[in-house]
Amino acid sequence: MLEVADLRIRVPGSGAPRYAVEDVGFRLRRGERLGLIGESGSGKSMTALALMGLLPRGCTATGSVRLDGTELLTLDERSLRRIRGSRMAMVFQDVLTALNPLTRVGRHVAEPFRRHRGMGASAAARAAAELLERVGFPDPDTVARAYPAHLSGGQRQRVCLAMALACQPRVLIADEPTTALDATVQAEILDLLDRTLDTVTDQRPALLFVSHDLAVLARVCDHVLVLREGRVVERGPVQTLLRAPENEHTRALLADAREAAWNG
Amino acid sequence: MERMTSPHGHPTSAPLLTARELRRRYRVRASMFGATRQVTALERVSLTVLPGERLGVVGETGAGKSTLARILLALEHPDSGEVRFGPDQRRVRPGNARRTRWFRSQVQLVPQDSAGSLNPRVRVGRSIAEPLACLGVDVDHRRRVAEVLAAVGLDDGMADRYPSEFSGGQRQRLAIARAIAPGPRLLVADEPVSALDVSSRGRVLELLRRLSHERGLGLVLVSHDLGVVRALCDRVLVMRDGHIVEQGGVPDVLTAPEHPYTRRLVASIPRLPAPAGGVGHATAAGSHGSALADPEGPTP
Repeated sequence: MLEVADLRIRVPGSGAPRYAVEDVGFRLRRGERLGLIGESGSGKSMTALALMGLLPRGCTATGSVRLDGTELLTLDERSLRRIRGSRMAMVFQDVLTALNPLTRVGRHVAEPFRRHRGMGASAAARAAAELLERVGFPDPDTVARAYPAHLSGGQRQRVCLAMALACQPRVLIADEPTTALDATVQAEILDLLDRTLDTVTDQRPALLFVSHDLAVLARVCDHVLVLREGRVVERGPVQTLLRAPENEHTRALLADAREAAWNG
Repeated sequence: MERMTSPHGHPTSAPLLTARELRRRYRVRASMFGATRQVTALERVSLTVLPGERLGVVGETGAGKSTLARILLALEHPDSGEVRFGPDQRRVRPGNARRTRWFRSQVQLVPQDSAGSLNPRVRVGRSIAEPLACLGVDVDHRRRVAEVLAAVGLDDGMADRYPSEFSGGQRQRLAIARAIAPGPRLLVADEPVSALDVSSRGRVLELLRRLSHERGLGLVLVSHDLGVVRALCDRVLVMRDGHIVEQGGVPDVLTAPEHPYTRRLVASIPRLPAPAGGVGHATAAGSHGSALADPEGPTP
């Protein structure tokens, strides 16, 4: 469904070419949940952004990213916009800047219905309210009238998740979606993500989950790619990797994670 | 288990710092034109830090931890209650630079964002020496800078570099070097490792532990991360909505929490599935309740 091959991302700079990501490849099938893990600078976020065609100015991606056979890397911006939010959607770490502070929550969630599904205002509002309820707002009409500033971080991330799932995407990309949240809220959001992926959507979207936290990743993903300095150093099922990490860097990551997650 | 000796085994030593019945409320405006309402940041918070003791303060957003840190650092007045410090338990009040000079040389902050706390245009050696001058610490600045750089595991030649030439972990070491330069008795560390990668996190925590041990430094560690507190602290206070809801020795509180909130906090920590034998599948499937029942994982 999603096929990434020989992905290479060049970052701007004078002198010899520098790459944030080199020779990264993977496949995501329907319903699969793949984690990208690595430290800061390992290229995990750049990889996620490249799939969405959202790389920072000056960065260029080569290789191939195919969604259901369509090559995305060479696609023009207009066609990409039709794919973003409908067939591929993303949630970000920073929920403060992910929402427009001047736009009510209801309009945020209704927008994908209007833009990609061609719904009218009232139909989209109804669909949005229903979706808000499914991501855990017991009183969706009140939330729909609120502005992002009225919501807590966890509530904002629920809204972002609702927006991302609105059009039943084939692929959901989540870039450190709980890193900025409190521990108890993080647990709630991970539960929600776990549940909604299979229930809110009929599509069973594939998930690409970017995280620096192995324990969080193991909680939602079944497969994992370990990135280091832009390259894949290890890949496999989460369980295998936890039981018998092969790469030295993975072992170090695991040791640190066991230390930090305190059940080591 | 209340500890009546300091971590170094001295018999019940005099407290280094005591805070009694701290209360702090803020007025906040609900919306741009709306009426203000009162938010309780701290309510009847009391604590004691012994010399060389490492006290963790944990809580989530809005628990009051940072307000508490600011009051302990005499950067902010409590509405009521008091902070006392030192062998003669002198009352501490925020005030002008001259009046707080002695206190500031004794109690130093380790900030979360070391990148933002080091002036990017100033060589790090000068940044580290700056508090020595401000606080009138009578030492040879060059020698002290070299000494504290060595103490945090950095080369003394690095004093001539700029902050941008250092990694995140190294910058946090620099911040720690600057904090210990005036020779304090207490460090207040506000989320000292939350901006770091997991790998450098462990090394910075180890450094703080060693410094505290070698120098008999008291430490108040403010964090939202129970794992960090567990790695470093002897005792822990759990805060919620401005109140201390639970306190005690670190192993006790974290393995057998009593307050429902502490239990929820402990249970919400993502756990790695067990290393071998497939025991970990239940945890991997993510039942948060069951993680509590087996806090240690399979004991080897």
